[in-house]
Amino acid sequence: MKKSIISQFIFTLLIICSACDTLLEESPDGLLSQNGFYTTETNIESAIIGTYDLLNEIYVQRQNYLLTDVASDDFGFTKTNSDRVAFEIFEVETNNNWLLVNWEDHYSTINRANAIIEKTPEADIPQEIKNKFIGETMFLRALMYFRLVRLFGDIPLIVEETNTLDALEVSRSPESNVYDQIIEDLIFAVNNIPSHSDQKIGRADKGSAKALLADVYLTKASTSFGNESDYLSATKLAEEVINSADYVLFPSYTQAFDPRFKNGVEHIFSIQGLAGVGGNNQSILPTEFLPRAQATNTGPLGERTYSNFHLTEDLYESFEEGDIRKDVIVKDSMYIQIDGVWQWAEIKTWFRGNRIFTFKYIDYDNPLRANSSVNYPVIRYSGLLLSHAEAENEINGPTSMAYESINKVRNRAGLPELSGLTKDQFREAVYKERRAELFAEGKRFFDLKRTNRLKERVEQAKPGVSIELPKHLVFPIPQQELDINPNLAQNSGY
Amino acid sequence: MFFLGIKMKVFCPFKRVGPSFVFNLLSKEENIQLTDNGDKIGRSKIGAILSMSPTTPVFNEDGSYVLINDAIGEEIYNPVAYANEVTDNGTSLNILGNIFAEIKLAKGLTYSSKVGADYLVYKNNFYLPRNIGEGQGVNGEAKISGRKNINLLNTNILTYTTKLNSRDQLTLTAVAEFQRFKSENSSIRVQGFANDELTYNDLSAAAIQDIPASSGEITTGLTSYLLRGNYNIHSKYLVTVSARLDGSSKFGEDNKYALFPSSAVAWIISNEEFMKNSKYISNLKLRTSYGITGSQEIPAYRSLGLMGSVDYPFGDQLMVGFVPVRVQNPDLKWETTKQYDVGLDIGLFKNRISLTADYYYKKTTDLLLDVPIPRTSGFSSSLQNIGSLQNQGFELTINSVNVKPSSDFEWRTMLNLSFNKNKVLELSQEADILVGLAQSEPYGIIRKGEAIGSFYGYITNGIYQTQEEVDNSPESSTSEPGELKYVDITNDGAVTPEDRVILGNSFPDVAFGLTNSFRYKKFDFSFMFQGTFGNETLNLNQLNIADRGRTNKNVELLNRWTGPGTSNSVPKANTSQLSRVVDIMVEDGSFVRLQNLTVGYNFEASKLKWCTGGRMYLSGQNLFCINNYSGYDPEIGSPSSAQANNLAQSLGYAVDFYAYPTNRMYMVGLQINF
Repeated sequence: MKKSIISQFIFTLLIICSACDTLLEESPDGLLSQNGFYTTETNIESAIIGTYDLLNEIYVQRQNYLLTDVASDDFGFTKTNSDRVAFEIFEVETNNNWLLVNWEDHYSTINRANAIIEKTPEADIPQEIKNKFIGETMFLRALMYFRLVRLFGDIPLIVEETNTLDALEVSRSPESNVYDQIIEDLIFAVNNIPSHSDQKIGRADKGSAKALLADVYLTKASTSFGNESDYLSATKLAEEVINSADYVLFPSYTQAFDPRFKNGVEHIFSIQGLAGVGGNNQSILPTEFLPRAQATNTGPLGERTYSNFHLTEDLYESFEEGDIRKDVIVKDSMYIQIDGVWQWAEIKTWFRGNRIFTFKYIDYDNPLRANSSVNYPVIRYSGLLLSHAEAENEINGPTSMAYESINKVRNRAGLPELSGLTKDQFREAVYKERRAELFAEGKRFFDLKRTNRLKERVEQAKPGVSIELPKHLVFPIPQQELDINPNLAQNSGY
Repeated sequence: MFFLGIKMKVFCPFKRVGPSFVFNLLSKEENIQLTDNGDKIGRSKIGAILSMSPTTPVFNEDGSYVLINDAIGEEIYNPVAYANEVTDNGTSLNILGNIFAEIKLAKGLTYSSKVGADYLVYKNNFYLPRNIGEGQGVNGEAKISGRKNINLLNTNILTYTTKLNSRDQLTLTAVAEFQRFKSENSSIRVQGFANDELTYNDLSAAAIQDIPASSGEITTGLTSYLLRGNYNIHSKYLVTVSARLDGSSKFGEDNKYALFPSSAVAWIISNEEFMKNSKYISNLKLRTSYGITGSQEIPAYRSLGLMGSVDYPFGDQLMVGFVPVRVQNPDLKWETTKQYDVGLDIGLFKNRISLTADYYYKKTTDLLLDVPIPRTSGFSSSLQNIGSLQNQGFELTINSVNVKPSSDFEWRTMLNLSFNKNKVLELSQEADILVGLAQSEPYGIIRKGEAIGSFYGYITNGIYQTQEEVDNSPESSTSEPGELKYVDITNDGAVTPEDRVILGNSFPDVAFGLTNSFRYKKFDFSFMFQGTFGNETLNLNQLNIADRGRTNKNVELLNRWTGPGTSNSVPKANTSQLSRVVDIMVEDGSFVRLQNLTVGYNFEASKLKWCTGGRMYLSGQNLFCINNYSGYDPEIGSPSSAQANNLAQSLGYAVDFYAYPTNRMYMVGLQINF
């Protein structure tokens, strides 16, 4: 008896000890190691999808429109949360959380891109496929840096993957260096990314890369390190996109924002939203922008909205007589169904601001406001046409090509064609057209900054708000980053 | 809360040698969402209670919940609706099994081995109905999550005891221990229910099934080898020397093992000849020890660079991608604490009064903390060995039998006092480490030379009364009359983040516990006070209630600044200034609490065969708390996840952000002895 017990225990010990060797090894079953991940085509493809992941957060959930539309002459914030009102009145403090989350998401995306760009060359796959992958990833990296450099000015320029905790305390690189990197990335993207017809739905393609690069040149032309040749580059790229015949304007303006037509002929690059998939992927755009009726708690399709952002009176009044784009804007009251009856209902009064709202972002198939399939347009064909008209006018004056581009956009808006303008008049016409065509699309702050009209426009549209230059041309670097990284300095004035 | 415990012990008939088997079954069911600070909807009930307008009723006339504040047309978060209608129940089943055997191999040499398994299954059911808050937007949401843990432990002990002569004894022990822990979890979430009938019991009844499900796995391993010698000389001198080699899977490839030696010497003075006949002193022992211990209390896989899954929709198709989720840290190693301790045990009057006093000094190096890293890296935090820390203090315990036990009456008192001071000695990085997030400001700091749980923010000095005062201040461009004056500490003519200073810390100077127990015939009675002094609590509720435009406010806002001379402490309404952490939010967290009061009655049941007797008792916990704190309760377990990161939670900051106060509990009990 005694013996058998002893032998049983020795047996138990043997079983346990045989596992001792591997006991201290860590090999997670539910997570993949970074080492050796970027070696196969499917893995790199999935890493690229992962690099798109935060775009929804950056452009939609984290309220890109606060930084680019509310911080302009176009929009106001309807509620009283001081961290968001701050953008409307240009009193953004260094500890503003919206800045921090934006900063964080941009750099996370950049790090994801850096890993792919750095490791893909070592993978054992055909060079052509490697270049295609790297090109698409460089487009995303450039997209991030182009936003960062316009929002914050000089920024840390990181092009290598973070795989050690050493040397994380980076310093800021001059804007011009950032632009050089963006242009280098986009040129590689243009040359290697799949063409519009070969690329998968919703992904960046050759057209996206060219159109983004055209916008980069157009913006760079207005900087202290830009010059005439940047306009030339912008024109050339825009013409290539126009001549590719890959894109046309939708017959109707509203189709450009209707999820039933998403990723359509007019869309050069869009942030993708899909209802019913949870998380950041179901777009909240309708709940942010749609108005709510005073008479009921329900919005136009019987659901509540947050109605966070209203148009300024200045934007409302800026539309030309007969502009059908104004049809997506309502003021004071709206025609909606209440208890099954179509009727005019007064728009709810909010704590701040007026009662002018836009119906631009609406998903008729998904009446749940915080759960829609609305895409957010980053580059639309009409925007590219206007960039083309602007750049062409800067170099050659209002040529027939410049008129053709702007008039395409005006035709669809139901407006008469322009002709016989001076170079300056044409420039003003393009500025005006951009505002009417692209409002609420994350362009306005950048356009005002680029065209040196931020102070004049904002102070006129928002009485009581005063703009200091150059302070307000950039946002402050998030204080949390300064606290942790002694090599970062704050923007002047903050 | 429902609790059931069954314990079975099966003993083998062998007395000295043989296996024993313990089987323990524990089932527990609890409602989580009431006390959860930041629940699954991301909202706190205490926050909702504090911020709900007093003019808004809980129910409409038709009996439905009020979910809109009519006065402002705003959606509100009705805490009663959430408390009653949201389901968030966890059930767990815990099975423990042990097999144990001890074998005597030779005279004085025994070998024992234990194999234990601890098995836990947990399931959480969550349902947010269609008519409440976020549930309206998604037509109801159900979530089921589950976890299965298995912990296997094998301990092997070889002990050799020998008497060197009639009075000296030597014991040598060798231990080898192996532990493996594996946890698997999964969860699934659906939305879009046609009604609130089936809820989480039929997830297929939901229209939206496309939300990605999740699952995960964690495996950790721990090995320990220990050698220990105990030497007892004449029962007067006790010497213990030990060395242990611990290996943990959680650290970097080359840092898994660490060696932890320790030694202790005790002198039992009362056993010396010259003390043996002392009238008063019945026990006197002087102890001293020095040793090194290690900590591996960190999550698994933190030294590795790993990829995690994310998703993004392209057109109408959601696609899964992989991204780096953590930067690797192969240098991650054990946190070690060197501790020196001197102690004295005294027993007086035949041990009617016993006293234990200890002084200790601890130095912790390679402190393991999940610290923020520059976000430009693509990550926001990383678990690192970040520096060293010292703790020194004094602990005193006094036990006294005030009235000698007799058949009728007995009275005992126990008092313990502890004094501790901690200080950060070194940081591996140049910059201070900022901790936590109050809206968007950190509220804590780890700085060399300061206590580790320090609060950090701005000093204020009253309210700007006039525009003239504002114009002559360092904040002339940003402030208005009626707003708080921030002090320009650096004296550089502007209030900047450099003007933040340390505002206190959550560690008490003194903590105490005082228990008195009485027995009179068959009745027993006891009460226990607990308290701390000299600790601060950060009242973040002030920040939030003050900032939100349309919610209920603190009563003190009635005395707010409304013009020059009206108030020098409460700012005007509608100011954005309070988004900073300021000195007035750091409050005295000292308290004295009647933690427990129990009355019992003991009975005998000599006539019953199956029962020998028992005890009935009535007990109350947390019956009152004396403090100067303006919130509900200054004693905060740890900050809620909404306002903290892992770092703030691991440092135990007392941050009250709608924290659920300590429960008051009454219990009636019956204990039967078989």
